[in-house]
Amino acid sequence: MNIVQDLGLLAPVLVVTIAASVVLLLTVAHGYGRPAPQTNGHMSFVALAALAVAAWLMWTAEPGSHTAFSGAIVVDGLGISFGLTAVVGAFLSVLLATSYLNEHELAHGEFIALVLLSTVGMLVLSMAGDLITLFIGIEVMSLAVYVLAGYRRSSRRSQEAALKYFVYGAFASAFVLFGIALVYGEVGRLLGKPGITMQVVAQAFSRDDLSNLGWIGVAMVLGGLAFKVAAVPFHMWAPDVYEGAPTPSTGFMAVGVKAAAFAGLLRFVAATLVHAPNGRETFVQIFELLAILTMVTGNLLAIRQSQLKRMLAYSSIAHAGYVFVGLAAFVAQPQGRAVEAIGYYLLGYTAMTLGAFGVILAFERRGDRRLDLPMERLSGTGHKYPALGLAMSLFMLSLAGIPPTAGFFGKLAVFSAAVEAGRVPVVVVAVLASVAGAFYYLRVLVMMYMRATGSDETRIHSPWLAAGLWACAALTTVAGVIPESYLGFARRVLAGWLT
Amino acid sequence: MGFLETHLLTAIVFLPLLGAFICLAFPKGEDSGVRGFALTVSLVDLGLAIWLWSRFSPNVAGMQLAERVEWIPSLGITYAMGIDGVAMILILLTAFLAPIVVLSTYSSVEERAREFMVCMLFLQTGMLGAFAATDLFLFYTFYEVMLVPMYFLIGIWGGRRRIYAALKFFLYTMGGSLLMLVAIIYTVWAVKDQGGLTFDWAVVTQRLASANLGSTEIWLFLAFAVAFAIKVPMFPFHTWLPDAHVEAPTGASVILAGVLLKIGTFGFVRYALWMFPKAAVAFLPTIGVLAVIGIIYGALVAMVQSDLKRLVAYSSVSHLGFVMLGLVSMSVTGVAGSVLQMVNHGISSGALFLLVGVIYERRHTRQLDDFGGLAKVMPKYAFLFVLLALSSAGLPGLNGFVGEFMIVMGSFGAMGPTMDVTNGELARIGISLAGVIGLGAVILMVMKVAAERARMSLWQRVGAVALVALAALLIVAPPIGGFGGGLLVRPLVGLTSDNGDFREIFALLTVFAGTGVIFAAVYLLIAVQRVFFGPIRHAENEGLEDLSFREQTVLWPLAIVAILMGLFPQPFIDMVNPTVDAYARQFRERANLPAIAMTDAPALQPLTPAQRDQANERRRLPAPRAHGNDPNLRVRKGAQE
Repeated sequence: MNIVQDLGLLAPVLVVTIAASVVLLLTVAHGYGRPAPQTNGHMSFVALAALAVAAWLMWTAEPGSHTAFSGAIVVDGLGISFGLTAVVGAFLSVLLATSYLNEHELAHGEFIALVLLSTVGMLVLSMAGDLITLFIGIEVMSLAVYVLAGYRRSSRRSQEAALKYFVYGAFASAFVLFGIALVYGEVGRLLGKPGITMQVVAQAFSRDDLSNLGWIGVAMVLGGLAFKVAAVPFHMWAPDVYEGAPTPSTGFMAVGVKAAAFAGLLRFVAATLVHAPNGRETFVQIFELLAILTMVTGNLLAIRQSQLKRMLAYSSIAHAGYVFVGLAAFVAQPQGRAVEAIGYYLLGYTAMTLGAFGVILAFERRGDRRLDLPMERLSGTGHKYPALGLAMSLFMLSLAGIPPTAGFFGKLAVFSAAVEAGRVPVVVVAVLASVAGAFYYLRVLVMMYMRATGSDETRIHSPWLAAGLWACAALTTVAGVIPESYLGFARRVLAGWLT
Repeated sequence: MGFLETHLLTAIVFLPLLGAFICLAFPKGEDSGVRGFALTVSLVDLGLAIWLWSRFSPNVAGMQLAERVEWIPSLGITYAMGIDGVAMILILLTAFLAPIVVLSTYSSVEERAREFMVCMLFLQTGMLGAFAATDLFLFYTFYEVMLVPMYFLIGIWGGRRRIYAALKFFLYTMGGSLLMLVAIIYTVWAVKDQGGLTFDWAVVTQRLASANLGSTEIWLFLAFAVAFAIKVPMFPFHTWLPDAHVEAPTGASVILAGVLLKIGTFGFVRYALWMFPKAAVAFLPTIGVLAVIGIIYGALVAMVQSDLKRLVAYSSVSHLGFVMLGLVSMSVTGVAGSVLQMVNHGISSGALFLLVGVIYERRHTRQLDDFGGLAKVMPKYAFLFVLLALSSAGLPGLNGFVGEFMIVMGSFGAMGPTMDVTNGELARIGISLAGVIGLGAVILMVMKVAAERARMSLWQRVGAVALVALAALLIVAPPIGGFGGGLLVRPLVGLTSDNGDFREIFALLTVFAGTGVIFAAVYLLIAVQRVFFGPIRHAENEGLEDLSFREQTVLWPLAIVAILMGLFPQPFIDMVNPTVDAYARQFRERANLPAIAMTDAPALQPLTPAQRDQANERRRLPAPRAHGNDPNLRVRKGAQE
């Protein structure tokens, strides 16, 4: 009950929260609405410093599971390893966003504060110790992202994206809340006393007389979280929102939200399905079905896209499918290796996806009223801007899963977990889907390098952008060549997580 | 020097990659500097490879000059490299071809020379690494990485349909290799119980021998085999090859034919056959039949080509059919011949692609009809072309002959798989399938030829197709119901279902393969005749310049090696023989095949029961497995009694 100790455990979250407050205060102090975006780089520095500190705190965290605030928060391996991914995503997003905000003369303060606040939500979600904290995490994360999606107030498309995301998202949140209520009721019925923490839920679910209402509750929570990761059939919002939102927001929501929502999913299934003596196999099959649907739909629809952001939206749907393969493996055979694999996958996905959005962002100049970057416009850019082309090649090949990139090793790790759990057919479907996926990633390279025409696109030159792209590229390569660095960290913090 | 000495393989493999990164740092437009630098890097690499050769001891069968560092201990992945005789000779081939290709692109690649060299050097690292790796994960990494630079080489510097060809190449190969990845993961996890996770090739193989995977092993073998069959490419997975070759720039074609395809055959012998001998043995006859179909089909299609480069491309399909036939015969002579033939094909095909590139640069056409009488204006060129064409066709005294002869000899005398009837049935299904595929291919080809002669009336066309279909039916139709199968298939089926003894199949297949040698002479000589002899029919050809000094520097080393390997093949045979001997012997041991012996001449007719018993006894026929309720087995037992 030592509140200081509890706060100490929460240090990474607190650092980010304080930074968000500082940035907000600075914005106010600067004077609202005064257009002087070039001087606002210091807010990005504040954010980057805070995120770096948070990342360092988590990277060096002690193994073991600690609860804080009467079990509302659990600082354990899952929370730390997935929280780290969210923080890394936020860090890279801030780098990329700063160049975008400069270029388009948008206000820095709110954007960066919202990114930080959303990151706080992600951290809370991945460290949720009970179902209410889980919900609060989802909401804090999502509300900030809704605003980020509509950050370009002058653009109707951006507003439309925000509204669409908000309405769908609110619906999903309601589902989660209703599901939580049902689970809560079920726990009370089974144990004779109410309880909302994950441990109590796990106790209730390890009994074999669960009623259907309990299962419906589980399904509703899972559905709501599946909405957040954009898994088919809860993916409908993704393409429109990804397309309409300003590119740095898109990048941020594509990676961080996904990582945190998967952490929530893992936490929730670890508390419920993993302990359930019966009904587990059914859910494994449902997850696999979801995974197959998501991979196939995402990849096939991505092939048909002619706009880059839209294509990446479908690509991110497909990647959620690959992660679902790992999730199904985890439910079928709960062990740390599957969690490590998923964590690794999401980290690699964060780096390469943000990198890809960074390259798109580089072609969005001031006064550009385009909704999305048509793929045709890329033609010849690879030769015109060799460094940018090389970076995009790296990100696309990594997304396609070519070694020695993070994208490849992530797939290997996730597929290994599935094979270990004896789930070979879904892996075969996954590799076939990723061949289809390779087609559209390669088409980007075709456009950039293999069309004879010259390009009249111009790019943003900004140290922020360069730093962001270099960081993404470095992370994609280093994580791919030395995966042990992350795996070792994940195994260290995850030690004893499931027991 | 100490570090270099202990890490020589690493140095050879990663020197080109380092060179590629340095190339990136060259300023744009600094073409001659980049070319010179890339040439230097590849020459230094060749020097290192020769040093490696001098340190390689040919009498040892195992892995030599091995290096091993823990890489990803969580998954038991190591950075492990090592070479045996087969890898050694292929590394030499790669290192030898690289500077030649770099030099050849001085004139052919004028645009973006820097990027071209980066891709080339990157590709070289991929190829060398794939040969040197002895860890499954490391091998897979190199195997996949290779696709990327080749994709760019075809896609950026290729011909008119380059994008289509590049995508097709990439997706085909990737599709196959991803299934192999699943198989690798499955295998590694299946043998995990015997002492933890490891991706080490030798350890996994050893564990597989004592693991009981049952019928899964067949699927694993197939996953590996299909991945490599696409790479080789074996009929019917070859369709990406002509597109890729024709569209690729000359340098990329040389590397593609010279080295990349060899990774497929190398993978077959090192991974697919070696790791899963028990499953592989059931498929050897099927692969043999497909190889022979590839030989004949490739040769026939090459014969009707009007584009010189396409002709050489299809000749690759035919030649690699030989390599595959030698491999699946699993006799020492056959496999050694295959390995030599890999090198020979690399040299002569590579040289032919370079030669085609030479006239393409001058005339910007490759149509046979656009030439004629070139021998008069380009005597040096004609001399080299004829020499290397003959080497490709297998003229005695040149390198092609040695390999093909050994393959034919080895597979004719191969004491083929003796198997129980269930496997025999499987083989029979395989043969039937191969027959169907062959039939389809013949019909498709006829229709294509018919389509080109558009002036024929409908009835004439229908008649022609019907005639050929009937002929094909007689030759390769699969056995269905009471119908015993086409002429080619019938004896095979008779043998398979009669006593399950496949030795004669290989003898028979060898006979058919032998026709491929004749076809090769036919299409190459036809091409030579149409390009070089007769009157000069086109005025543009009169002023063609003969080979420049640089072009001769590119081509003569290949010609010299072709002659040397033809006259003195022994050192090369010695290099691979101990390795190959170990491969073939151990494969046979583990697959329960009869040990290698060339005691009796293979018979083309089914043996009499008395002879068969005698032969079976001599070959230490494995005891039939105890399948209590297997009807096939009972049939077989009856036959034995």
